[in-house]
Amino acid sequence: MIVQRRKRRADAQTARSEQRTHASARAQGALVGTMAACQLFLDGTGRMLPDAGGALWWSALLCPAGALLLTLPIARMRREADGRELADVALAALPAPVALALCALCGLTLLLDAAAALYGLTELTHASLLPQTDERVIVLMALTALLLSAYAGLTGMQRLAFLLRRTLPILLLLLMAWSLWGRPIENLYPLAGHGVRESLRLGAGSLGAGACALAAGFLPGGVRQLPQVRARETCGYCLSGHLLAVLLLLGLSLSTPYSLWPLSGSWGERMVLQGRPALYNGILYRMVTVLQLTALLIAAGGALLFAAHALSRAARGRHDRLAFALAFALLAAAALLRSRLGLSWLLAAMPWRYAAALAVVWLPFLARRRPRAKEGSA
Amino acid sequence: MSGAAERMSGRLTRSLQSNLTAYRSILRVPRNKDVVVREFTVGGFGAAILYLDGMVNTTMIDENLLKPAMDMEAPPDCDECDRSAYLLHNVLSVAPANRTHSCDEGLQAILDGLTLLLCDGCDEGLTFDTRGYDRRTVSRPDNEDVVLGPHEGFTENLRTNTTLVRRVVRTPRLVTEMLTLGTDAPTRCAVMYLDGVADEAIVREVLRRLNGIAADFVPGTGQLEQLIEDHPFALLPQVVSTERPDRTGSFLMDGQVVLLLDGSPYALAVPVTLFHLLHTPDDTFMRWQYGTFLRLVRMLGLLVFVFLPGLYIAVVRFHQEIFSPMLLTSVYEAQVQEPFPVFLEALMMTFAFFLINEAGVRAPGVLGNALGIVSGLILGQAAVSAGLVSPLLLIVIAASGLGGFAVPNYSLSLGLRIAQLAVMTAGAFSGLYGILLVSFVFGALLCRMTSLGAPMLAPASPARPRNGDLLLRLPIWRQRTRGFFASPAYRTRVRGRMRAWERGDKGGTK
Repeated sequence: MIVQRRKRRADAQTARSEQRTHASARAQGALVGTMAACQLFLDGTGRMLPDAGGALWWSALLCPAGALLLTLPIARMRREADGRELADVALAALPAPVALALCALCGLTLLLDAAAALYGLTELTHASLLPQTDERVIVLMALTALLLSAYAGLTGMQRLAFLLRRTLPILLLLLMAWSLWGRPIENLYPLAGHGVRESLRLGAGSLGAGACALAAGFLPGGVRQLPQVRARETCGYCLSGHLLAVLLLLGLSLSTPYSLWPLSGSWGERMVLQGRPALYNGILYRMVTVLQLTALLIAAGGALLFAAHALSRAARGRHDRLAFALAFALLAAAALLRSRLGLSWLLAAMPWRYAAALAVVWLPFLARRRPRAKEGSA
Repeated sequence: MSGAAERMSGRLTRSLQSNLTAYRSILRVPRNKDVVVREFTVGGFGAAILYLDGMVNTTMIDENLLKPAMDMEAPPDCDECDRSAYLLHNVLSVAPANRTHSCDEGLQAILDGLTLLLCDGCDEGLTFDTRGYDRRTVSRPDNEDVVLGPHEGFTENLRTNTTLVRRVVRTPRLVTEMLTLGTDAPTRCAVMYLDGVADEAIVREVLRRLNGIAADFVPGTGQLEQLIEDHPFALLPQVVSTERPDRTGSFLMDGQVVLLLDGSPYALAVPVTLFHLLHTPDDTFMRWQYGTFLRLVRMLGLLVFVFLPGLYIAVVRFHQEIFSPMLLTSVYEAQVQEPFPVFLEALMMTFAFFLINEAGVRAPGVLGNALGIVSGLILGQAAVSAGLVSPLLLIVIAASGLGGFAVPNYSLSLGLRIAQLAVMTAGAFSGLYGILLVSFVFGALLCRMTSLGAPMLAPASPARPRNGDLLLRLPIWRQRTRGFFASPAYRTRVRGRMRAWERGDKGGTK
């Protein structure tokens, strides 16, 4: 009797655990879609829209084909991988040159994603917290922090993201309460003071980066058995997240007083003109900025570590540290050369960052990494 | 003296004089005045006892060993080699006794305070537990006193401590394994755990690490902690030390392994999480509302301790717009009169606080308290009067210091002090951004930390099975599970309701 009861209880616990991990996988899919939408929105409104006539914006709204194209093969590989790392699966399943090229492509994409996250972080910090400080100093400080935190490895980064995801609802509630306490409702949108274009751009960037960080956090660190998620289901959630983000951003862009509907001339200029000054520049604004920066830091750190892992596999290496050092050196060099080269190369390559969604879906494979010898003995 | 003789790894011989010569040599007799070698005759054959003066109860030796042995006149009715067994079973009246054929074991028994009896013609020795050295009685725990709950603390005696734990956890599952640590001067160590409840892998790992210690001397739990922890370079401790038997009992019931060391009034519990370091025994003894409230206060104190000085410096230097106009005016007026930058002021005051704290701890007894109060008041008042620091900064440092005292674990408090300095430096050089970066690095490293393989931040991250005893202390009847590191088969502490009487009839009420 007791044995049966214990077995029933164990079965129930297993079922609950599976439910949770499935929910996490679905949330990851949705967040991949969200990130993709934000990225397209960023490209559309922030940089290309004034010149390109909104083609990318409309493509983001109407045609999330990119997300589908990306997630279909990933979901399929993930199903077949059975917990192994994607790079290893690729090396086992594909011809060696193709697999190595895939790993290299993934690594470089993720490196670019790390650079983009760092760029966003630097820009946001320079615009809000440290206007007097040189951007090079800001980015070098961030790189130093990433270098130090790399000692914690992917496990540390992933657990930090998971912790952030758990504490986020409480933080948001506190912020809302603070904002509503004796302050006008506009304070819930502290970025509004930067002008519509800037606020939307920063908002979308934050949402994208936050989606990346949260998606990393949605992976329960204690999961030992990865869920077998169907490709169709993942795509469905990805699509839902994508559409939701598009609708949210569209709603924001259409809301008064930021009406964008009557188009005339350059959209970007119009948005700048319709911006209004900040209502409140106090601690709430700083807290929101710090939260966004945290998400960006996790996104940059995670992307950098994943990039190192992929590059290590591409070079047929088994250890990530050397690859991390290489990736880090590349990133540091790019940051130091920024003043000479400008950021145009990064901006031009931004749509490529779309592939960064790969990292998010890739996370479960890395979670199943075999512990190193000294940890295994613990 | 040769290394072989030093080790005495051989067996005892049948010649009493040969054995005594070996022991005299290794124990440096007669140069060493502590060692007593008493030769006498028992029933016509020679015998001797060896012990360390001061470590034994001489009355017990006189009454229960020497007197009955020397009163025996007739030779024993047995072979030469069975003389000691004959004495043990028929003559001597000390209950805890053992037979040994090893010179090394006999030597270790003498060093542990036991009495070794050797007989001529017999190649074995008898060890009797006649320990009688002075020891501290069980008293209140100095550093973990509680308002509610028992007031017994561990002493420096290992057996007393294991007994105290056994009195709390009266279950046949409680296992005490004894080891010796240290190659040159061995110290006894007790490994206690609940068989079945503690994860076997963890117990094995603890034993593996203890057996793998190659230090010459392990005098206390502080040294032991450093020899077995996962991350020796980390700021935070990875074991919990307690001087309370009741808390040790709760660790055992939770599935943890407890280590006790002879000569140390502390027990070490492994594995632990960060939340164990933030709990106090009071939390459990009080009703859950009070326990939760106090725990929240403590958390707030911890955050204030680590971040407040750094945030103050960051805001004053980089983000003055956060202040309201009135506060900004007051800060500005105070700041323009100070000769030093705010970071230097904060650093000076923090170090002064650390200094007062350290001096207060080292100064004897009442003098320490007086020293803390007087130096704190005088130093603070004088610094403000002399215009060296602003009053607002003084309040910030004092509040932060108070928050530090709210941290219940001393090792954790010291680690956080270093973290506080890092946060202050980051705040001074790059404001909130710097604090964010430092917190990010600390957070990532903390998330990666483990204690005997168990993640330090679990069950918060990564998710693990848990009860309601983490940041908040939920009602005791809701805490139905043990720690996540306990053996999965026994992770459930109680099945069904703890307040089972709520289901029964209420016939007794009127």
